[in-house]
Amino acid sequence: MLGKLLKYDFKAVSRYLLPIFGLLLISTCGTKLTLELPENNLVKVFRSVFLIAYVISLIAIGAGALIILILHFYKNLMTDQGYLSFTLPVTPTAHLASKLINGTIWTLLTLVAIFLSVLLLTAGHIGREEWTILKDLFDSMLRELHAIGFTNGKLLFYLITFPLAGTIGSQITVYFCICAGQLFSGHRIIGAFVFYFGVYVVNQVVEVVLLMLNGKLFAQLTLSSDFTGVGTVVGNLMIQSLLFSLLLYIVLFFVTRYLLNHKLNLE
Amino acid sequence: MWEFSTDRPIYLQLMDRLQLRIVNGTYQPGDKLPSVRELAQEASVNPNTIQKALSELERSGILYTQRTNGRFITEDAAMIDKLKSQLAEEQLVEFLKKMKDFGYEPKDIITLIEKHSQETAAD
Amino acid sequence: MDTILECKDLTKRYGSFTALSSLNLSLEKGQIIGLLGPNGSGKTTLIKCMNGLLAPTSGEILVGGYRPGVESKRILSYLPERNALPDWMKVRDLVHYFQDFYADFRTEKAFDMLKDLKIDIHKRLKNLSKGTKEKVQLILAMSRKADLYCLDEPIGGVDPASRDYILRTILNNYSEQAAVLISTHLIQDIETVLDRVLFLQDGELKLNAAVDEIREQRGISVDALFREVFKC
Repeated sequence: MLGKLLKYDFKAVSRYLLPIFGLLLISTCGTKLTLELPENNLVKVFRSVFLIAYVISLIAIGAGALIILILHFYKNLMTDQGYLSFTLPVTPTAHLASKLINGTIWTLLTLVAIFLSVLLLTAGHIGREEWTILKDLFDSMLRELHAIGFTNGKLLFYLITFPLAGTIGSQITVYFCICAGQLFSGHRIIGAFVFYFGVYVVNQVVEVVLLMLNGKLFAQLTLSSDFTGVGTVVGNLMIQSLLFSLLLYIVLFFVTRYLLNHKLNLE
Repeated sequence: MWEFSTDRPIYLQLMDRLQLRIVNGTYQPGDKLPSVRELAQEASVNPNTIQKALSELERSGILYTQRTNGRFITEDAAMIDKLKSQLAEEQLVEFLKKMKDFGYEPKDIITLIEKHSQETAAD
Repeated sequence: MDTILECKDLTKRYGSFTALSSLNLSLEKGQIIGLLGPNGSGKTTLIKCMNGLLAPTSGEILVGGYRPGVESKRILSYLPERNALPDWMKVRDLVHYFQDFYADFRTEKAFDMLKDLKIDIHKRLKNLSKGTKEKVQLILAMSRKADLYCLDEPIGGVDPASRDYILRTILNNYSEQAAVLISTHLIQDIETVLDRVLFLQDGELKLNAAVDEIREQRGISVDALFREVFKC
C-alpha cells in the first residue's frame, strides 16, 4: 500500500516540478549555447535572457521543491481531499511515510538536476589543467580537515546524514506544524505558523545551550592553539547538533503520527 | 415508474397493485412473476418491501414459489375469480358508502348507472 | 455476523459543545437506512466517526465488528458530501486509483456506469461540471462491493433524471450482505427506497423505526413525520 501511495504522491508533485525541471533544462541549454557561439550583440542579448531564466529556475527548483511538497501535503491530507485520503484502507502513518519518502526522492532529483546542469554549463571548458587545479584544491582541503580530526569516514558520514536528516527534518517539521495547526478550527494556518515559531525557538535555545556547553572548551583550546582539539570540539558540537536534530525529528514524527491517528479534524 | 402514496405502508399498496394485475389478466394464471430485484428496480421500491408484499400474497395462496424457478401466479382460476369478486365487493362497499353520504339510496344508484351507460354508449 | 454498524454510548464533544450524546445504535445488513436530521443534529459527526475521520470522546463505534481503522475502511464505501477527488486526475485515472486501493472495487462496473451516464473518461475532473463530478464520485463509491455504504447527500445537486438513475443504482446494488446508509434532506424522493429511518436531533437518536411501521402505526409518510418532529 505504501508503494501505491508513493506512486500517486510522486505523480502529483511531478506535475509541478517537471515543468521547473524543463525550464532549468531549456535555460541551461540556452545559456550554454550562447556561451559557445561567437560573440555579437544578438548573442549577448539572448545570453542575458537565458541567464536570467537560469537563475530563476535555480531559485524555483531550490525553494520551489519544498514549497510544492508542503502544498501537496496540505492539499492531499488537510483539505477536501482528506476525505478521500483518510478513508483509504491505509494507516495515517503510511500517508506520512509516503510524503516524507516522496519529498526526499524529489529533493535528491533536484540536486541531481542542478549538478547535471552545472556540468553541462562547464562542459568543454574544464580540461586537464583545470581538473588538476580542482583536484589539488580538494586534496589540500581534505588534508586540513584530517589535521583537525575529521577522518574520511567521519566526513562521509556527515556528508550523507546531514543533508538527509535536513531533507526529512525540514519536511517533518512543517508537516507537524500543519497537523498541529489544524487542532485550532478556524485558525489552522495561523496555528501552523505558531507551532513553526515554537519549533524554531526550541531549536535556537538548544543551539545556544550546546554552544555554551562546548564554548568554554573551545575558548581554552583556541587560546592554547591546540588545533587538533579544536577540530574535536567542533566535531563534537556538530555531532551533538545532529543528534539533537535527529531526536527532534523523531519526536516530531511520532507526535505527528499521534495527531493524525487521534486528533484528526478535517473541516 | 409506479406512484405510491407515502402515508400508507408501501407493501400494502404493492399488494393491491399486484392483485389488480392478476385479476385483470395482465398476469395470466401460471405466469412467472419478475424477480424481487426486477420489481424493486421497476417500482423504485426497497427490495425488502417487495419481498414482504410477495410473502403476504403467497400466504393468501395467490402466488406460489417453485424453489429454484421463482414465483408464479396460481393456476387456480377459481381462486383468482374469488379474489376478483372480493376486490369488487370491497370497491362496492366503499362506493355505496360514499354515495349514501351524498344522499343516494341503492335503487337510485342503479338508475344513475343505467343512465350513465346509455350516455356513454351513445358517444 | 449480521450487525454491520454498532454504536455503544458513542459520545463526541468539542469543548463544551456535545455533537453526539451517548448514541446507541445497531444496524443490520440487508437494509437501506435513512439518516435524517436538521443541520447540527450530529449526522456529519456520526458519519465522520464511522469513517475514522474523527475520534470519539467516549463510547465505541464498530463497523463490521472493527474499530474504525484499516480493516473497517476496507469494507466501508464512503461517499462524502463534498468533492474529495483530486481535481487534476482524469476520470479513467481515478477508476484505476480506486482499483489500486480497494480490493472489492469492480472496475468493469465503474466503466459501464460512466458510459451509461455519458461521462468522458479521458477528461480531467476539473474540466467537468459540478454535477458530473458528483456523479463520478458516486459511481466510484457504488462500484465497490462493500459491506456498508455510507452515502452523504447522494442526490443533492443532481437533476431528476440522474436522481432516478442513482436510486436505481442503489437498488440494483442492493444485497442481503450489505447495508446502505443514506444521509439526506430530500426525504420525499427516497422514502420508497428506505427500510428504516434514523432521526437525529441535538446529538441524540430520536427515532429508529422501520418505515412501514411508521406508515402503519401513524398513518403518515416519513416526510410528514420528519416535519412534525423537527418543527421549527
